[in-house]
Amino acid sequence: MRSERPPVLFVVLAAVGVAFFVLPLIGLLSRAPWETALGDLFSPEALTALRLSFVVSIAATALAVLLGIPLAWVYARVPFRGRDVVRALTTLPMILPPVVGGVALLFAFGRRGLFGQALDAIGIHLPFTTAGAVLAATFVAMPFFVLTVEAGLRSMDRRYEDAARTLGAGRWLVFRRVTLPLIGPSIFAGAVLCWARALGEFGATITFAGNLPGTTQTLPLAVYIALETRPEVAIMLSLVLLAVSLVILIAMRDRYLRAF
Amino acid sequence: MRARLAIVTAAALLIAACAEPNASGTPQIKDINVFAASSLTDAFTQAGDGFAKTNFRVRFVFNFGSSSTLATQITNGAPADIFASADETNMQKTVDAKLADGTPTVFATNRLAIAVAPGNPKKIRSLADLARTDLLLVLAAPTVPAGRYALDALSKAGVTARPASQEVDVRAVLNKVSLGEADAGIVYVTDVKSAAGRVSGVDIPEEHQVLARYPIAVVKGSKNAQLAHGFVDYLLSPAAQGMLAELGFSKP
Amino acid sequence: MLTAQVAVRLGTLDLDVSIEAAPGEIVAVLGPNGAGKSTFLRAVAGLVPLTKGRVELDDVVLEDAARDIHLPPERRPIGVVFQDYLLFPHLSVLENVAFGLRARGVAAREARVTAGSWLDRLGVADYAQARPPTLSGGQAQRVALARALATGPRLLLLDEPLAALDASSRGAVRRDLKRHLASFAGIRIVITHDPLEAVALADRLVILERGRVVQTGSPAEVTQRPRSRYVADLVGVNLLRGTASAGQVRLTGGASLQSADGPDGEVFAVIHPRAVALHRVHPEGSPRNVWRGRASALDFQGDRVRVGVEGEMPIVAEVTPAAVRELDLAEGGEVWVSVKATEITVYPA
Repeated sequence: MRSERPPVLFVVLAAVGVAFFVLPLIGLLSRAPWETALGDLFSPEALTALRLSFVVSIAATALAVLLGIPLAWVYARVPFRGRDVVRALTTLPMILPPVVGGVALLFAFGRRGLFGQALDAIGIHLPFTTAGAVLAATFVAMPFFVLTVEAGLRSMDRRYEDAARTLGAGRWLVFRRVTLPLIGPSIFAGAVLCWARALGEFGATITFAGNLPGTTQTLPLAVYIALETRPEVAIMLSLVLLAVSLVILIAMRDRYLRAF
Repeated sequence: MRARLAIVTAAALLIAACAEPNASGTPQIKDINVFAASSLTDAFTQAGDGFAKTNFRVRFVFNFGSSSTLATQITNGAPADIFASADETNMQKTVDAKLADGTPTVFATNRLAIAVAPGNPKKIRSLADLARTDLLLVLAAPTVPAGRYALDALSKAGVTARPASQEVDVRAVLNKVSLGEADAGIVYVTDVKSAAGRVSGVDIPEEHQVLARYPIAVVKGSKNAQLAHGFVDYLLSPAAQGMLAELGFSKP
Repeated sequence: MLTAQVAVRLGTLDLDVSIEAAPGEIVAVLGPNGAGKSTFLRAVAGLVPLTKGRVELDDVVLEDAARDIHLPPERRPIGVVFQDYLLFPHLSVLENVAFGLRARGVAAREARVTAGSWLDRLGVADYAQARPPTLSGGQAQRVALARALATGPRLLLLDEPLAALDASSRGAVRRDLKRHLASFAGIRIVITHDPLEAVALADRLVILERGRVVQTGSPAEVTQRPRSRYVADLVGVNLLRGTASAGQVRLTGGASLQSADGPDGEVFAVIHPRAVALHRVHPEGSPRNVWRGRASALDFQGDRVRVGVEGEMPIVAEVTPAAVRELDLAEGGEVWVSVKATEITVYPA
């Protein structure tokens, strides 16, 4: 295959684009206090925040998958009046500033919230709890999952489902053994996107769930607090987040592109 | 031909916009960047208006936040003209970084109070009550002046409290209480006063009190040092001090 | 025995047909694209609900629009071979064939064994562990057939079974398919737009045009006595319509034909292009049917030339390239046409 030389203008602009992302990372790496790094990294606070981040982000992703697959299916396959409006509403968290999302959650599920009072009555308290942090993370991250899976459902060849039915498979069996495997790549890609977003969630978490080490202080919150007095620790924690996210993104680079 | 004309015109406009107007023209407005502790939000907004009345050339740009965050920003090169901190530790950071123009002056002090829902439905009477398990307590994070002061006060009173959250600054604590999400929070008396109607305050006895000292300094390298010093002087003037007292601050 | 009275209104398609098929015969539903053939298949399979009508298979009512009975596809004893085959790409060939059995409750091991024997029967046992995307067209078609037959259906539907193949393999695969179809005891219906395929595979043709059945009969009957322009074009003959009286046929276009014999009343008249003679000037001699026309299209097909003639009697003639040269024929040129009365076949409409 003959390789064409790309247009110079494109290369220059692309290089600027790359610099845009890479320079802040280089800045972070250059200020990292490598001598005290290990100590900072394995301090109890850092490990707690790291563990909590994983628990919250994975729980949020699991919740998003459980609710998101049926939701994506309804959006892709079930025409009903107002579907476009409903879909727009459920993707709002993607463009809403996270803090606004947190405030909305507060007014809905907070102690004095619309539904919070009912939940309180049956003993379910969400603000200031890990469950609340999971809810906040799910709220902002789930739309990424739903959109990806919906796109996968729309682009799959539905005739495979027809074929399965003529072979004797009922609708549930068709969904389990034909539809789900065929949209597997989009489910995977959507889940990773969702997980990455949940991992980095800050604004909604701190507004709705609060900030308490061990309970709601996820890694981004720990970085923010640490920045105030111990920037070296903040940098190390940021690098951990960065490294984990980078590993995941690199590991699924091809899969993501194949999802569509 | 057309394209070239357009480019030249755009460049000319750009240069004109960036250029400093000459002194012989109308007196231009100078921006003063003030980085101040969030507990000074109402105080400085009013002080800024007061100062601008006698000095038309000034426009204030306020950056309110936790003193620790502000100190970090300034020591990393943020373009502040004035820094007003809620404690001396954070001001010391800027002094150590050789970024303080002269010696910082303490222009006000503040005391702590317990913020509760209007009418105090949970009947909180003292710091000791904050240890009650039926109460949802929030404090500012220990890395923030108000958070440290709160822990000092609690230890003075011999109380072990378990906050449900450590907020990023004292205003966030106040908000949680006024929204009804928390039953109590330790804030400054000035915060309780500013949120009158939305929260009620419970006094903390003098033996458990912590005095918060607010130092202020002009940041070295300020482009409007003269005006900045003028504002600092204004804050120490009787007019400003009276305004501060009305808001609940105590004398420096 | 399948009796299908299928009426479906879908978008711009208006399908209303009544088709029967008995075990032992292979029926081909032949028609141009858009005629409604695929919709018919999908309706019989239960994938498209009937607007009106009834489908009954071996005395079991699969669907009755009037009585609101609709058996879903998975409960119909049918097997379908789809155009493009639609083999599940995420399953192996063996798992594909076993799919229908597993879906109907057969245990995994037994299903695999049955599937394996079907692959054997169709000669693709070697590919049992392969993934469908790696198969050639012919192999995929046989796997699709095995998959459809493995569940023991009473009705086998094939949608354009050879369309996905390239021309070179089509002949061999078609012969293979005919052999496999012959060994299936149930009812077989093939949907196709390819007349060669229809004639080669089927015992009976059903011609579908614009949502309606226009003709049905054995391949010989249909091709010798076409009843629609579509079939006439497929076979390559001129088809005319008119009213006959003692051998004189007054055509709907206005012109008149003289045929040697034939019934009276509403008739079709077929003239093979080879029977049409072209002349530079008004011909002398026996032909009673002579017209003037204008050559509108010249289609060179190897050693023959098809000449479309417009005029009072539009017709297609087939002559040799030499004749074209001799006549100095060109598009738009004037030409005289003659047909012997004995070369015209007339039959009731």
